[in-house]
Amino acid sequence: MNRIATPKADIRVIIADDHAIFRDGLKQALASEENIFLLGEAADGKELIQLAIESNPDVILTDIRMPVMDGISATKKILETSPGVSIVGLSMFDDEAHIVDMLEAGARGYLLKNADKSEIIDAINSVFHGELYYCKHTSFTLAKMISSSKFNPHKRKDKIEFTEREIEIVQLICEQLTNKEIAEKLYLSTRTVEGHRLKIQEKMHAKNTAGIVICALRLGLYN
Amino acid sequence: MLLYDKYLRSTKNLYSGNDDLFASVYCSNVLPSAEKSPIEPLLIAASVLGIILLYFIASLIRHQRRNVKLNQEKIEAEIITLENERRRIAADLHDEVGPMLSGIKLMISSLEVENDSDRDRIIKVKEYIDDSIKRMREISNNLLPAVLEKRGILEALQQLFVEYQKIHGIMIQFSYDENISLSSQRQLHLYRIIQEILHNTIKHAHAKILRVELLMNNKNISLYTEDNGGGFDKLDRSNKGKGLGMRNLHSRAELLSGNLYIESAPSKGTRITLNFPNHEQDSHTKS
Repeated sequence: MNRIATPKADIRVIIADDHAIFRDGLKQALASEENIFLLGEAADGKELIQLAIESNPDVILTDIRMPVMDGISATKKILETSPGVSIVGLSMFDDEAHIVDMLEAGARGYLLKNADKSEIIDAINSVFHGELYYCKHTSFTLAKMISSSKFNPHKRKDKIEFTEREIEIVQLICEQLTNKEIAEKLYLSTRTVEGHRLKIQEKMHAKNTAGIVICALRLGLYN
Repeated sequence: MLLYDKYLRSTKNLYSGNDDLFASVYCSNVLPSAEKSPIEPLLIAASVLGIILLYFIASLIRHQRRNVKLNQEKIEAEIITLENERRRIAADLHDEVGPMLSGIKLMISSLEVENDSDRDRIIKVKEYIDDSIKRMREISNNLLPAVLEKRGILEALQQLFVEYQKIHGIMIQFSYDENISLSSQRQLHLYRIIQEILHNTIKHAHAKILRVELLMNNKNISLYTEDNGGGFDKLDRSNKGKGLGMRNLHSRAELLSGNLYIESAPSKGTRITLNFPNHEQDSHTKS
């Protein structure tokens, strides 16, 4: 969102999914973006590896469950030879265990397949700029699984300092309260809560609620 | 009737016949040259008949046992086929239809229109597709809850109860032993039993509260449920013949080698108890 002002670098992308219809949809969604160039598409993990070697992309969007070779093995293989590429896993809602495996394999983010177009674009831009991306529909159980997995994206050395109010709000966010509900509970205006939330997001380098929850769980702000 | 008479008579004969057989064998050994009493051939005939009948009864029992076992195996095979089909359909919906709908949604999203009403229509269509995906997920989950295979029976039940409380407004009190763990086949049977009970509680008993207990001692697992609903007359019920749901309940209980007790009376609520052995091996040695 805040990158709109900065000039966009070209991002070269390949996609992999065994469903032609989904690839087609993805292709059309990406086509309208000026800075995203689709280099090619693959129908399974083997094809994806081949394509990645040939076209040397910046970002790969890949399904996790595919025939012949799944996205997890493909991700590991690709990162062995070209560690610079950012990979985003795609999955249908409840493959929670697979999502965690995918992140542990080295993916920089994940998306649910029924994500909005804007979210997909956002994910591509984020991982291209070295950030992590968690789909905004991340369930609490998934957040817990990610935060307790070996995958540790939050290796920042500088400790993040939170005010008491912020910690309070983070805990309420983890309890799945909306800004309005938090405002009512803490006797604040919704606007103030929004301000706090943005500040928290900034401190945590989180893109969305999912990022806040995962970071909070990891830092032990909420159990 | 005739057969029964014959059976009675023969068992009587059997006892007396057996004794006499020993006696006659003994006699013939010790006194080979003694004159044969006129009663002896009769005794021998009776003993032979007794032995044949004994054999007949034994094979009848064996046959009966084999029949019960075959029948149980048949039910088991049917249920396993059913569950496999359900699993396949659930997976197909989830793995095939899901991505297709998602693809269509993305295509719709990339349409660019000038007209405001068209834009609204696109938004509406996207919402419809989202609803379809959601509904598809629910159907797939009803066929076979993914959580059951991934996280086990306790989490699957908790999820099921939360869902039912939300949709049907029934209050479910669930207490359980955390150490319960079952093989995937057996936990599926137990899950279906509880699902069936829950379904009956809401659809037939119209209960407001359902208590579910799942306990374990070292050898057995017990399921106990109690509702405050309408209940039913067991006699009346059995006259009409068991409903499909009830029959399923009994078949599944049998597959768990369990004992199922249903206690109910009109406007007195329903209490169901199921006890079954903790381990799979028990189910086969028992029959």
